[in-house]
Amino acid sequence: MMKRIIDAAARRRWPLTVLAFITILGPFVVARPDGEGTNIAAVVLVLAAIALIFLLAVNLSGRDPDADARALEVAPDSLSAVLFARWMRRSKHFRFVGGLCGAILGLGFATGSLASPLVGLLAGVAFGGAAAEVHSFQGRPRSARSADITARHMGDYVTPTDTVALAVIAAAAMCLMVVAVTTGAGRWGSFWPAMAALVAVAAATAMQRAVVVRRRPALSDDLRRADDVMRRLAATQGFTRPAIAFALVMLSQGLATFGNSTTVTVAVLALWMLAIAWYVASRQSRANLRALIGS
Amino acid sequence: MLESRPEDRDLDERLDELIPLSAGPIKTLVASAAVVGAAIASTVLIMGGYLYPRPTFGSSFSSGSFLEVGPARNAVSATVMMPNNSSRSVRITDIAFDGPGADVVDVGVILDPPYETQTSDVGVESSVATPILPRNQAAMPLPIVVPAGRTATVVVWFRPTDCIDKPGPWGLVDATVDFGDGAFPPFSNTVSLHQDPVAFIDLDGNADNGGESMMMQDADGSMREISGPLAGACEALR
Repeated sequence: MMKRIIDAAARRRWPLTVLAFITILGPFVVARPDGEGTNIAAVVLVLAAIALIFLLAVNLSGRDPDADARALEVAPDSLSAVLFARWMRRSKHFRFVGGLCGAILGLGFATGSLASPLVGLLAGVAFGGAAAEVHSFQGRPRSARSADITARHMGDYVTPTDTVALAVIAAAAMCLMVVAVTTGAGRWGSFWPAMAALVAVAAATAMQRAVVVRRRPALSDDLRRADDVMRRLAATQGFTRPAIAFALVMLSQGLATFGNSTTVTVAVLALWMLAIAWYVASRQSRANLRALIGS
Repeated sequence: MLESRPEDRDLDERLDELIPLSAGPIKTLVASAAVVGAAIASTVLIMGGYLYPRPTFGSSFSSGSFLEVGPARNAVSATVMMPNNSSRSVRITDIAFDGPGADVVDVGVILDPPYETQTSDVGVESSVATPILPRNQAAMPLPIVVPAGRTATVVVWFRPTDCIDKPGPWGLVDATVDFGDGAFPPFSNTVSLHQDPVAFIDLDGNADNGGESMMMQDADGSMREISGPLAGACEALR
């Protein structure tokens, strides 16, 4: 029974965490000045706080009960499944911790809307996904015993759609920055969001390259193929797609300073929709995994 | 959990080189909780205004309800409130005033007195009245420190260069604030009081000051209604 509860807490980490958080805020929002219902509110508050601590403890411990099943479903062989399961657990955990930290930090900058925590969440997920790949840059003396010297190219690991998206976002961000600089004070509000989008694109591209060219020991053909797929997952789902989602949202923030005209509003909404689509495409769903591993 | 075949001795080592095995739930929990804890601590510091000055965060404030003619009739003053709702004192070092058709003559800040109460003999609590001085006497020059929890009233003296009020917001203020000389961290911040212009001018050239008509206090203390800040200032200084 307890195991099922823990697994459920790990499977529905975001909805349950948000629900517990809202439940904690609830009593403060609906509290009546005359103090009526205070006892009930206190009980709800304590229960929600316990639930939130439990949820965070389960998910911060890196529990992912479905990783093995997902890996077995999409991996061509058992060896690849072992590698995929490791990557999925690690990437998902880092993304959750990054996203949680980003959303918390975003709350600090919030000015009455949900945009700031959401932007923080996307930035945190992208940062966490990239941090999950940093292990490869740590020196390990044992790995010097052998090396795979096969030439690897970005195009073999990064999808054309993501590459085009990064290029388009970079171009749009530079245009926004030029407009901000040339039109003066009224448009400076668009400069820094555009700059943030450009930095996200540059960081994602640099990280893609780091993942593709990172060292690899001499491996059997099976394991090398599995490692190639793992790199492809890392360079797309791991951090690139969340970074694209974040950059799109920053572009929308920059565009929003151009007023409330219908064109601007539609463009801002479209960018948010695209950002959500890219974030959804970065999740470790079976469909997303199959699309990447099968390609 | 999926793991490698036991008969292959090198396999685990190979896998570890490609991607390290998880450190275990307890170690992972402790490390992750430390990272999240740091994020929470940073957020608390940011919200409290400890990391960089953000006095108006999470607060609503308003413009002064009237313009005032200076005693020498050489300028008119407008005011905008800037509450310091952060947990740390901030220092206002500069004030930029955006009021098309007006030249800024001087700026100053009136530090509103702390809220004080007194209890009467029968136990009734009431606020202590503080004397209201004319702006030119009460306003102090920059820089000025605004303690946590106190409210600063930014005063801008201007002379009109145009007597026709144009539609739109008028009297937008940017206040540059920091923590003071030698304070840490040495960050400054520009607080936009843009949501709170002195007046919104409608298409007919009339000022709408938060749903109320705009008033001008003359040098003799008398009050009269004005249609807009520039037209009112021109008339008062004529």
